[in-house]
Amino acid sequence: MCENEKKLVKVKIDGRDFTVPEGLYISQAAESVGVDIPVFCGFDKLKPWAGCRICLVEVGLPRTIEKDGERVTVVSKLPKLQAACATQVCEGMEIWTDTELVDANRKRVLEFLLINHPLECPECDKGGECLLQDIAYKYGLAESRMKEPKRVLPDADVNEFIRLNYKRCIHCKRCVRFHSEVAGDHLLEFARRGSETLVLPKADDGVKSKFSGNEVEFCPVGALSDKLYRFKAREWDLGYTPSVSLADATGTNIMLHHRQGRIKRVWSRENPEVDWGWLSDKDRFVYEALYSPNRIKKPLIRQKDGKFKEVAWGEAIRYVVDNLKFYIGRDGKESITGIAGGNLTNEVFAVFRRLLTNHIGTGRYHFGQFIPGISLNPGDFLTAIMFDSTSWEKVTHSDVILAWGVDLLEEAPVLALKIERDMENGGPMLITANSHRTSGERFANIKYHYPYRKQADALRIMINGAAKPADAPEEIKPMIEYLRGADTVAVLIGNEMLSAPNATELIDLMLKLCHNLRVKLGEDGDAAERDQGLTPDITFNPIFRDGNAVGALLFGHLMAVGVAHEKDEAEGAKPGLVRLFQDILAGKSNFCYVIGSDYARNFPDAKLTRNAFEKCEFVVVQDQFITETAKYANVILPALTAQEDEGTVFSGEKRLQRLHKPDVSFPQADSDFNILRKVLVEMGASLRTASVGEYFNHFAQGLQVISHIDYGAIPEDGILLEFGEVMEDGQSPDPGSFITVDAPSKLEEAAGKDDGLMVLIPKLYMFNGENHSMNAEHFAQAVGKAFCEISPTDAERLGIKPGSVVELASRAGGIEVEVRVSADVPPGHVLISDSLPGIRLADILTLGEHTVVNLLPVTGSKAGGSSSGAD
Amino acid sequence: MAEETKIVMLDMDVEGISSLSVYEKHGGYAALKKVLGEMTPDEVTAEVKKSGLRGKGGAGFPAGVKWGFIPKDKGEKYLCVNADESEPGTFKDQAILEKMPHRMLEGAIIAGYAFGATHIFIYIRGEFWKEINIVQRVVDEAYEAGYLGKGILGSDYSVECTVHPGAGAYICGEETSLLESLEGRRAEPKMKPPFPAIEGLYDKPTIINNVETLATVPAIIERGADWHLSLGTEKSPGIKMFSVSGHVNKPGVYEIELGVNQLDFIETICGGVKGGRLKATIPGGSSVPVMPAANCDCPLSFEGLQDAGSMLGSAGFMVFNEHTDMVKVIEVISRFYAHESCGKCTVCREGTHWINMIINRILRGEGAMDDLVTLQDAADGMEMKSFCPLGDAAAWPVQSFLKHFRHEFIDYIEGRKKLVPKYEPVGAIGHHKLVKPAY
Repeated sequence: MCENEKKLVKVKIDGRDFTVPEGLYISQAAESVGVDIPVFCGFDKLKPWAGCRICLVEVGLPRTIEKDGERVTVVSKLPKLQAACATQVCEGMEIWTDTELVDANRKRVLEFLLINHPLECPECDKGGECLLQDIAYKYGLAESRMKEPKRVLPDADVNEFIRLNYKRCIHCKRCVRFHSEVAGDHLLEFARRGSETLVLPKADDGVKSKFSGNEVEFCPVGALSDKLYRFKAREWDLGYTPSVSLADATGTNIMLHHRQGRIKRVWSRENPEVDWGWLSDKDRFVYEALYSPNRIKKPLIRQKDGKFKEVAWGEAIRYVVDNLKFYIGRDGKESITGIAGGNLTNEVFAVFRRLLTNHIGTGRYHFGQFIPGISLNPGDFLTAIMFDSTSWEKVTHSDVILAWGVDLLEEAPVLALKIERDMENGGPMLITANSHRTSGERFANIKYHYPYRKQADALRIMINGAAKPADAPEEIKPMIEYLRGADTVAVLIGNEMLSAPNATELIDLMLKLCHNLRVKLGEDGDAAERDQGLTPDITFNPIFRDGNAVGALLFGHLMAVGVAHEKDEAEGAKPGLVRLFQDILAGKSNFCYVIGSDYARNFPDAKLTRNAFEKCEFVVVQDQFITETAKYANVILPALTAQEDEGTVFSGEKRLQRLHKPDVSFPQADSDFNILRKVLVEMGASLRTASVGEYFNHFAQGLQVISHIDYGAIPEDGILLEFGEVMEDGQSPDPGSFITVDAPSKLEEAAGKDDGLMVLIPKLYMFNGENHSMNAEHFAQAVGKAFCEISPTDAERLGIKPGSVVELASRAGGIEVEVRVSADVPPGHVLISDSLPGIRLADILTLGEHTVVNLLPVTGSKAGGSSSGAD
Repeated sequence: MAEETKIVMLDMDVEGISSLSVYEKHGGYAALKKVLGEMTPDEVTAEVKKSGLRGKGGAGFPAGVKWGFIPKDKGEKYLCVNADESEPGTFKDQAILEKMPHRMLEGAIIAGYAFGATHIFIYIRGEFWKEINIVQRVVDEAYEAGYLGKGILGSDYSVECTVHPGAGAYICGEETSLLESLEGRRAEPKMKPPFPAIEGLYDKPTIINNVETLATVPAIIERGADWHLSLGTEKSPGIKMFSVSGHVNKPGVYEIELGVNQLDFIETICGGVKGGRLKATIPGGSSVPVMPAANCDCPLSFEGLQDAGSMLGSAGFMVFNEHTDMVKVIEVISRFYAHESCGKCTVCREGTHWINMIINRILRGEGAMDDLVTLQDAADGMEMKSFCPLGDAAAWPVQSFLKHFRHEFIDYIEGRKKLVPKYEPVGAIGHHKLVKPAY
């Protein structure tokens, strides 16, 4: 698009005068003033291609000539028709869209497209929302003059989600262009030429895309169809409900398409500040889990014989409350434990916390992602999130993005696309720092790699380097130079830091680095004097793994810091997740209420959690599936997911977004909010609020930043929260002076050299084996088998063949898993998904220290074998 | 009486002229030495601009003007030699590449000097395996003799040169597609602007010139622009190589002054029509409109042929005698375009294929009169509406054959003429096995 987009130009379309922004393409300009120009290949989010030729219009350009001694401007028509989707408007341009020539071309192009297009609209999924159908009604000939047989090719699979019908393809190339221009993965390519041109899926060549679902949405015909939706509904029968994806912390906006009480498909709902209209395949396809046969349909109570029995809701709630009262009476109110996952709405967190703190009176609870050690000192981290984190829009408009310990393409795929798009348009520089080569670093300006166990030392070197650039080691000099030269730096941290055994230490170091970058460098190399202008704007955004991780922190920690401090003064702080489990194991707590989390499966010390749940006398689990944790439950309550319910969430950029309640249901499952309210009522609480909305308004009043927001008035694109204090005169607070730390001069990783031990790097992948992923049939297929990756050097050293099965044995336990060889992995390390399909990685993880494993070849075992520790 | 005027083809028959030593003995690289010794780059461009040299690949764009589009600033600039000669009926570049490669290379270096090229890419049609080897040897010789590389002949001009085999598609001859192909992508015409002279190969300013155009440059430098202007006509100055094929007694490549009368050219230089009287000619390669004998009395120049209803194109001169079945001719031509359409734009992708299928059906005796309307509509739908000029190239022959030889189509439709199958054509189009060629 043109640079001075705001400048307006006068154009004439079909004899009428209009003023439109300069740099628009003719088709966009015409659309903006209500003139219809048909397009197929033209698509606002891709570069113009001008291949379909349906949009051709007559264009006249102004020319100044001498006439009778006077200079006059005349408009002369260009000899050829021009592509409206690829020609920018300019001052004085005249456009004709309704001439005989234009009309004849549209008819002809349509005839060309239809000679091979099958007449099967009644059975095509796109029927009713098909661009070709719409335009054919307007310009198409009633009868085909094609006497020859049509082009026929059998359908093909693009990947696990998409089916490609060749007969319907009109070669607009939108999908191919999307995969090369936007997704960057080349899942689809054009092959052959002329009338034989076809879209060739490259999935068989090992190409995997995280964004394939988007092509179904913008395919102008029914060539690409969603396998989950095929033959399930008609466009005109669907109901639409705006919602928000909780697949990751990006907060991508989605539209639920539902019919007869079921979600039929998930489409994008463009929010230019968040997702630019793209969705990841996880956002789009993981909803299938909702209709998995494994989903719990009715409340279950464990019998004396250990088997579950289906019961009515009333009985289940009474059973829960009776036991709750019993354990409060027996062990005291302080003994009750509450644990909630990160994919719940704020209202559920709030009402759960109210139940735990106000009505029961316990301080034992934990919401959201487990960040090792964070509960010991959450203050700085929470303060940084509240005051230093910023919007995605501002992140993508920074001078430099420092993505440390995060693989953006895996952990926040849509955000990664947004960053890459802005980088292409001259936006930010990207610096990535990881322990291994990641997919997300493909466009990075600087790719830095540290030894996984030396992440803290790498940060220490950076901290000192930021304070004294001249003394920085050679390998980080370019990074320091970029960071020092920038006025705005967006720091993003991810799973490799947040899930590291020493996460708290790492976060603390990163905050020190941010501090040092904020201090302006003086001429003498020391911190500059205060009056030398504004300090660099350093923002800090953790990329959490859960959809409402910020909400979980807010309700689980921030508001609890004060409370816990008063309550647990003797013990220092609010007990962390590890303490919660240790206390259960020690018999201090015998009633545990778990909502939407599965720590028996994914807590990095599985023995601890499993033993704790085993020991715990009464466990209530509120979830969609019989999770590993639910296997220890006394009562399982079938809950609706956040998507099936209404409520609000905070995405990773602190955007308050609203999920609307779609017209869907699931047999007897109830929303988390309602279940908790029933518990409260059964406990005898008098509730003043009836609905989620009223409850939001109620607790919002007590929270200053959202006190002005009314639930019903939350706009479709959400509200960005601003915690930051506005300084007078636009001055930033004085950042003070540099912090220096003891840092080694060199980073060396000793593992794998002689003792044969390798360092395990658990990584968060988009295609992972979490409960919801594995219960979504098609998504689970895309996740595939469990595997780990080692470097070619190690494969050779250990004599391990790619594809063979190895046992990863740590001091905690062992699992058997297929091994692959990849040059992305540094020698001495094993890269593995932190949520393996079908295998509990937690069995070999060691809490509090980096896991080291032995690679033992397994003979005569099936690939992707099961966990040796699983029951 | 028409005569040959050998400029590019001068000394082409000399034994071993493709080697450096023989070429130098016959005055080779004198022009380059003159340019490097006496002329500034701007003077070279000005001289070529003044000479009126028009591109000889088909479009006829003035070469000097094109060079002038290159930004003056320093930095990487490229010259691409378009040796992807694949227009049916045209084989003049192949003759130069095989017999006179040094003249082309000398012209390329002079052109490179004129606009400051840092690298010359010679993109040779993939099927020209023999020529690719010859040109590679020639480039090696030139490097050794100091005509390429750093500080050419002691001057401060340096240029590198790479020979690149083409990817076997007609579309690669279109300049933006050529650049795409050279960069390793699928050959498809690209959007202009940005024009290659501003943002071309690897996003650097790039000039694409035809082989013959560059091979003409040394003579212009040696003899001057005025000499070049004195040849040919006012609007078509200079000379042109014609690739003559078809029903003539002496087919081959001939270089003549532009403006020679067409009938005279056929009679004297081509040795007259073979096997009967003249029925038609296609003067500029398969993509230009066909000319019935009645229109053939015209000068062979850009404007002369245009006035007579055809075009000079790449001067692939095809002659048909009175016994030629013109429907079969257009079938072959349309099959070529259906096979070579790149598939990017709807009108060319679908139009060329459909047209070929209809013509085949007519040949099989299954045609109807309304098929001629469909043919005309399809061709009109392609002309001026396709993304690149190759859509026009596929439409013009169909339109002109329908106009001038309509009765031959009708003979087939009404059963007066029946197809006598002679042979199975090789490489019939359609992996979908839809099109069974009629003969």
